[in-house]
Amino acid sequence: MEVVILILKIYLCFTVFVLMVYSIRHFLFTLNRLFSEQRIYYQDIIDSDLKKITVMIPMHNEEKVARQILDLLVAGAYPYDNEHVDPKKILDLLVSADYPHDKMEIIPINDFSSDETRRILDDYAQHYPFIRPLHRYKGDRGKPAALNEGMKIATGEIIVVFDADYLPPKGILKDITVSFHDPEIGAVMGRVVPVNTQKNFLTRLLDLERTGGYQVDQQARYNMKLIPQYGGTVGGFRRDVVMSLGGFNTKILAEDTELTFRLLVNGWKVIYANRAECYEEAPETWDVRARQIRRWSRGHNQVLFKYLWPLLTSSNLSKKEKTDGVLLLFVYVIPLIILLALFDCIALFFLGEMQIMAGIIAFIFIGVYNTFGNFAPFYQIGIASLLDGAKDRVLLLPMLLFNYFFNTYYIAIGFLEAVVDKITGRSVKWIKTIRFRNKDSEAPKPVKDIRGTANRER
Amino acid sequence: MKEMMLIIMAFIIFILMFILPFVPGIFELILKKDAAPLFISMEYIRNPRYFGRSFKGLLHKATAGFTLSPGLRDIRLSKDEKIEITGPLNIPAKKEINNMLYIIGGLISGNNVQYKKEAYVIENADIGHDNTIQAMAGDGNIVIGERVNLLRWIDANGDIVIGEGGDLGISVSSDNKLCLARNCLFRRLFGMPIATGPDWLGTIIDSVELESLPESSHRRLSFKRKTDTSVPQGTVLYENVVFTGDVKIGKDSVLKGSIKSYGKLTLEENVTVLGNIFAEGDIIIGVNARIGGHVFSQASIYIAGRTVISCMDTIKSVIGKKSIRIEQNVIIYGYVTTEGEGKIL
Repeated sequence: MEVVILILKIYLCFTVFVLMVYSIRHFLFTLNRLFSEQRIYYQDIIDSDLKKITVMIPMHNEEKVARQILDLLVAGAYPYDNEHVDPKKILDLLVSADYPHDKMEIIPINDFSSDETRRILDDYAQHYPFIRPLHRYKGDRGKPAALNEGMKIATGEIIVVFDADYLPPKGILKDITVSFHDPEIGAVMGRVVPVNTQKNFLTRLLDLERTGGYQVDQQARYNMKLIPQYGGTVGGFRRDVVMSLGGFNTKILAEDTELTFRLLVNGWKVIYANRAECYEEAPETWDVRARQIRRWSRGHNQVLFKYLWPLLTSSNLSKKEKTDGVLLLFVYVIPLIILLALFDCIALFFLGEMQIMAGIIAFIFIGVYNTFGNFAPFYQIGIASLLDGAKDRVLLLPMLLFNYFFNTYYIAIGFLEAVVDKITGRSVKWIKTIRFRNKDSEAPKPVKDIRGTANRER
Repeated sequence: MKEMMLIIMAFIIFILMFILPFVPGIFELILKKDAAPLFISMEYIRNPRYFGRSFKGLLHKATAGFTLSPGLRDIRLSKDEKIEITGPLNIPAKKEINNMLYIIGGLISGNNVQYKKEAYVIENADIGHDNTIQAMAGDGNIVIGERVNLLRWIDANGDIVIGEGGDLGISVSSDNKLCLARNCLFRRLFGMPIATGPDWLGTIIDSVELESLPESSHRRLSFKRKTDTSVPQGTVLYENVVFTGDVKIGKDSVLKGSIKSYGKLTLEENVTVLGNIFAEGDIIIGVNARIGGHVFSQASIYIAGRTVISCMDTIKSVIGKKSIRIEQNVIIYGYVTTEGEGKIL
């Protein structure tokens, strides 16, 4: 019994140590965004010699959203009803589009769709020669397999990827592509902003999460020359590099994270472009969010198992990049560690063995951790909202507690699934996130304001 | 009974304390005061001539409803303004102009004139010394004397020539030549080309034979990472190179790819780089350099004389976060910008 108690105590100390490390990480990132010098991104580069790009949009039953993203990419204008628009207006819109069409092709990838997606894509291809749909009804399903097949027919030097529910603004293709003038950039990630924030309680919480994740976390990593993460959408990569590294791994659900680490260990850099902002549709129901976060966790942990050792032994990464990389890889393990620690605490409590440290030291430690440690992620999201110029949404911060417990549970399940994947070598099945937009409606329009423009320029 | 009451009280206090942090959030959820998505401008495109074009667009829209006969008119741009519509204008020295100007013709302005509002000149503008200008758009050439104090921007369809000691506000842009004399301070410049120093002013620019820098190998897939701190004189490098620290490129070297340094990057005399130049530290470009691509530094940039960046009909950018210093007799085709101070030496 004593051995068991000792193990339980050691595990509790280990958990506390891990939480402290991640709290410090949160603080470092947040303080960096507040007080440190910010590195500029390449968005100010103006170039008449643009690279040829291919925009790829994986689509599985995306009839609700397909028209809107294609309209935005074609015309660089806000969504309009393509069936009723004056043909002369289309021409005007084409002329005003930001990226020259002779330097751009769009490959929407119809991935085993059974709805109207195929017909919609073919309609667009008839009107616009630079839209070349790829219809897939054979081979592996899912985004990584679709992207691999798309890359084979792509002619662009740079591949830019959007998910089908995204609403790319006019200048985003240039903002993403310009970074590839830097010879060691392998991939670039833009910023994702939920467009359906006001829908319900969940979308408001997800909006806060995204704000913290991009405005502070990703930008701080870029500032500190650590490891910003390629997120698989609103981002781009060099086609030849990714193909020479074997394309996307179809056995891993987080193909974006996998690509990030594959590029890094092979000597390429991944950077973050805070200015390249794009609207997405955040999940509006808890069950859809549960499936999404579970898939992320499972995929991310598959990457952990695959890349922890290559990361640590890579000669292409600095010590601080490796440290950040390890912490990033373990992010989706932490919830399980915490869950186990909760059971650990309960066990120790009923065994009457909770007193691990004596007297004043324990008091000071718990006091400090409760004051600063628990505060760290909330501080990060609060500061991110401040940088975005948001005000009243910060009041929702305490409610992230609900999201925290929800995420903890599903991330832990995702981790266990990844462990089973590793042990059994079973194949994974890609499950698409359900869309909520009404098929016949326009995309939700944001309210125009000037909040936080200066900070978001960075 | 007393104990029971205490327990109930404690429980109620616990519930209240538990709920309290959520109360403001509950109000926000109900009232939705800050529920709109963060604003992204769906139409925004980076345009180095944004100020001039945007102003002219607003002006043309606002004046579309009436004939442009001389006189003072009320118009609405972003707010209500008074605009003076006039034919060719000759403004004497030391005058103060308080209204917006719409000049259908040319403008000649004496010394020490103060323009408190924007001016739009359809033909050429010839501005004297020591003028203070809020903002000026021109369809022709704009020639400005010494020590101009530009509060916001100047944009011209024709050439722009600016005399010594000017403080050039936020932006000076032209689709044609932008010639700047010594000691001008700037934030953003755009010209095809931007030229510094007396030797390049006026017609001399047209006679300069610029080496055409072809599409080079800087687009190749790979790059080499090097720890060297110097590249010997006369070296020819064919690939993209990333240096992990400070590096000095010896004189007469030719780099056919792009170059990046994690420290300070120094190009000695007569160096040619066909690709782009990136550095985390300062970039020092020596005399008589030829650069085919962009020059980008997270710190400062110094460009010595007789350097040519980019070539005819090709727009490239020079971006130095902290400062940019440009010597006399430099030509840059494209865009120059800094968050700090730019200065023509």
